[in-house]
Amino acid sequence: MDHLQFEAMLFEAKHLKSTQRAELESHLASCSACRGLARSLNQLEERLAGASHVPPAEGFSLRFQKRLKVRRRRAHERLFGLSAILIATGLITLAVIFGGEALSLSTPLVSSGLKSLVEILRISSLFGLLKEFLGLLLENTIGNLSPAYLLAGSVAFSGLLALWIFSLYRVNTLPVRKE
Amino acid sequence: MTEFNPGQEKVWIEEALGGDDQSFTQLVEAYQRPVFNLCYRMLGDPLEAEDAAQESFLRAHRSLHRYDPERKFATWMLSIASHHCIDRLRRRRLKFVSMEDLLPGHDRPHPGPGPEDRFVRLEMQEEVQQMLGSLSAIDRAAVILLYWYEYSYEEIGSVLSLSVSAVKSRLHRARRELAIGWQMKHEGLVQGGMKNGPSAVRSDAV
Repeated sequence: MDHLQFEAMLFEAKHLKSTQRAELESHLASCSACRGLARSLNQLEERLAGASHVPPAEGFSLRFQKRLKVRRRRAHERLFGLSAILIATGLITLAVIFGGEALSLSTPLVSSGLKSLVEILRISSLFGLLKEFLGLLLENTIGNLSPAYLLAGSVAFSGLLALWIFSLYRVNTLPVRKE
Repeated sequence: MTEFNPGQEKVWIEEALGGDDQSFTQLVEAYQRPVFNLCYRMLGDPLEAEDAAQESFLRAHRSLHRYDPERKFATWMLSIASHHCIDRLRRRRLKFVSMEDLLPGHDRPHPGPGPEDRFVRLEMQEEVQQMLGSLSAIDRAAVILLYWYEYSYEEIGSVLSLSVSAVKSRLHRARRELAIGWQMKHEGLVQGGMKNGPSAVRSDAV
């Protein structure tokens, strides 16, 4: 005898057609194993239906408000920490790019840097801008640096830029609290 | 499950989206009971359930801008709580499985007296929790949503991110497991293949 078919019917009893129901009842009348399972299922469902909703302890929403404040403060602290790391990374990156010369911050270097910036602003096309920027950078400051340094500097700078954009996105998506 | 005026609920959601924490607290007040109950039924411990329910509301607060107003807020909220509890149960499982548990023939020490004595002392809630505890995390969530929230297969699928056929199959397996467990416990029925249900009984046995 195929009990599996009737077992499946037992668990879908609410959705059975009248012919299927009659078939199931006829099987249950002759099969003690399936009858036992049907009885257990009924008792189990009664027990589950009788189990009430368990409420939380008093003051749930107050505890939520406290947690929300703590979570928000931590988020701001994290953001502050991230900004500090970004600034520090930026300074280190600049130090790497400009090399030992930049550490002394001599006046001619600063002045040539400003000149370079003005030159950059004058260039209109994006590719030209990039080319000119790198050219000026190489010419004025880092002509004596190895390509490995340059590559490391470029990668660090790109990462920095990505982190900065991400931090801006996070700041903008943080919910603003109404006082 | 508790139903609220949808208009009022919509206002709270809009105000909360505008940054009004007080309005979100109104939503917490309104849904704390169903969310806590779900967490308690899933995790079986009131302290852990409190923590999970609080965390679920914090997650909802953080992702409120992603809430689709076409969907019922209760379903969305219970979906967050269910997934959070399923994650917790999975982490708990990883945490507690020790090498000893993996060795063959190792039985965990029984926490109390024998099954019969213990049954006498068990209250209804404890027994229900014990039964639910025997199910896998997702099956447990499906059973809870079916019996305590009277959700349809479609709604359960929506909460647990499952297809209707997957919900049906999981519920069938879970209810069968629970019914056989109940039978064994209350009728002491462990005859031959009955341990695995009637379908495991050989054809010539009937």
